[in-house]
Amino acid sequence: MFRKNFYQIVLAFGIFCLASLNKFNVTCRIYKDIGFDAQALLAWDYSSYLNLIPYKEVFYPYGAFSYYINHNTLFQIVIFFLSPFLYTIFFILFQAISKNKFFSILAIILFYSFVEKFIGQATFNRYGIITVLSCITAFLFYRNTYLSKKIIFILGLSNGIIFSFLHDQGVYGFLIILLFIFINPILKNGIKNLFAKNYYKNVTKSLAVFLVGIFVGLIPFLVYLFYNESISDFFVYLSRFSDMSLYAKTAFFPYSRSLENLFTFASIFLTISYVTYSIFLKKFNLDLIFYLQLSLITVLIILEQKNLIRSMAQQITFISLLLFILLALRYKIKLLYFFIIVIIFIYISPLNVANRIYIKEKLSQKECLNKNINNFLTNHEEYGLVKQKIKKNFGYKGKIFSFPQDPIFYLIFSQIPPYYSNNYDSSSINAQEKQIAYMEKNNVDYIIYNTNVPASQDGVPNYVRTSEETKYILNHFSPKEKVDNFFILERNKKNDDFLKNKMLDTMPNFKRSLLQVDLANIPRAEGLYKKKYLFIDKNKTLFSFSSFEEVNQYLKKNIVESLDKFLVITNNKKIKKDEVITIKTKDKLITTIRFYACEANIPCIINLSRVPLFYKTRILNSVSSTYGKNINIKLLDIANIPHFW
Amino acid sequence: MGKNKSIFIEGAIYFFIFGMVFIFSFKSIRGFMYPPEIGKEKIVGFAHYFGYPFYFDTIVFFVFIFSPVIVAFLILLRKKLVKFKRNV
Repeated sequence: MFRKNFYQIVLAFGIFCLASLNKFNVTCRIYKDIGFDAQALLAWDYSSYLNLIPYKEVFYPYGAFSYYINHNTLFQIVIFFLSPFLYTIFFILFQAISKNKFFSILAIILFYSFVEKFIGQATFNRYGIITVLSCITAFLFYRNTYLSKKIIFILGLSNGIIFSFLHDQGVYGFLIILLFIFINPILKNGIKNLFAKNYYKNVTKSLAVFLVGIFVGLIPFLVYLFYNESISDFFVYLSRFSDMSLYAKTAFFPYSRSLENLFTFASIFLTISYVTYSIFLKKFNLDLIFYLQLSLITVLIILEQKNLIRSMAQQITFISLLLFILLALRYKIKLLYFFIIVIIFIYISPLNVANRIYIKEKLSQKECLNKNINNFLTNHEEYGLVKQKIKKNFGYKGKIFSFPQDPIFYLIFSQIPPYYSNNYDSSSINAQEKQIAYMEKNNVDYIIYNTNVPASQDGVPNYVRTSEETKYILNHFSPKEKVDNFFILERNKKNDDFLKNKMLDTMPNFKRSLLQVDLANIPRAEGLYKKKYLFIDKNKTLFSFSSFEEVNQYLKKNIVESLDKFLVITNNKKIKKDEVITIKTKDKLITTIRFYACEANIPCIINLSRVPLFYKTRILNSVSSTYGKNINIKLLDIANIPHFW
Repeated sequence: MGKNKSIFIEGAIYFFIFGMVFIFSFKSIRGFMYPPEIGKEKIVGFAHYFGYPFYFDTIVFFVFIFSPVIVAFLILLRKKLVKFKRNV
């Protein structure tokens, strides 16, 4: 097939190269509006410009390829040829499954138009690699039950190389190839194959060669890590990779009805329906289209798991389009009309969602960063004013820290950013400790606190997401100046009390957000899972009462400090509304703590040290609540708290 | 009625019943699943904070995409039953 259509394939590759010619060496990303995502990307561009080493000096989750793209000519050449190469592979596949040349040309034009208009080249390069790898794998396994050692080694090698540059894509590729190694003999020879010795022998051989291939493919990357003394950092990064899913997971259903998600669901649903119908109720052929459908469905199911954690529906719609094209090619019913209508729709559609965040320009890395900063400062003067205050008015020459999520300040102040550019990525306790270490090690005297961002991204308040980091900031710094929505915090010279600082009254909403705390589900979940740790060895129960009046009488007679205190409240019936507790301290500060009501007879556990008012140790004066009767209130002193939040 | 058309209608009825069952039991299924635990890394994301069951979306997604398999199985089972009854 390749020999027969060689000239067409070369011609197609040439045309795609010509179409991409205007993009050669155009790697500068000018961000349209610098929101959370754009600031994180810009901070990474800046880290790359400063030659910071990923994993070791900067947290970077997208792999070396995109990190080094801006200052490596070889990478720029590779990236220039990458999308023409991917398009050409798809063209070859369309030719292989459609005997009609005209259809295959129409299909590739449709696909190209869709990607260029709705996906964008950077995203296509990223997810196109895994899509092409899975299609090639499907094609190879379609032709042979067991692949030759040479081919399986090359697949492993490719997978290792892909993993080196795009870690997540490498993992997906590994899963897909593994799937085909195991299921292809069963697909071809039936389930009885599972009981044949040959099956296990051949599969084990294939697996061994595949793993050797991966290892060989990984060698240059391992050399790179070794050269940069970042092998251990990389493995630490890998071991904590699953943390990302924990802090990034949001509810999927609110996004599920978007056009992109419906498009993807429809493609998966129709393909599975058709394949199932064919297998169960009709005569069925294991043809190339079936293999391609199987591989693309697998890719989509894997990528959907990422989409379920954090929406990326638009980025994977081109795989859904491929599934639709395969279904259309299978039916051949009025196919031509279908393609023409879709192509016309794509061209006349006012939508252009590719490159939503940035546009690309041909600038050097330094010029690119300067242009981004200048554009940003023109539109957001307050950022420039903050710099002016700190540099000129305070005469400060040291390093600053931005909280919770304005890493653009590191560019504006021309300083090396911390390992994590924002508090969202530093959600785990290790990451928070790393951020605190940065402030300590660099003797940071000023923190720029954006009070307009009480929660990063998904409604989880900063005092909950990064409790330790917030505690450190509030205990060691105090407001010195207010610029627009920013507080410039200065390091305390004595034991100042953040919540008693008079400047807080200039930002009442911010003050309220720190004193009217919402812990939502945390006391409930802590009660569900941690009640078994409440009454172990060294924990001390200070009191156990059935009403808050009794609690207050106790507090009047005794001095109770908030440090390491856990309030444990058990209700003997389930209430549907939230509960609110109000605590007054001896120094006349008041905080309210709202949380979801707990199950009947399961305690709600509140660690007082996680409430901003008690970041500093204070003496409790009185407690009141919305609870009714039949409750039990305990106050525990838990010195060793590794189990609890 | 053609064979394909009757299968299509039967499948559509099963999907409709599935859909209705899912819509009306959505909240109770979600409530039935426990909220995620805050682990040793002390990570509190959206799911932990709002008590959203971590694997709820994944389970629903897999039920959704494999529902055609269940429907096809039901149709096949119904066909076999009819055939069996006729033979008896």
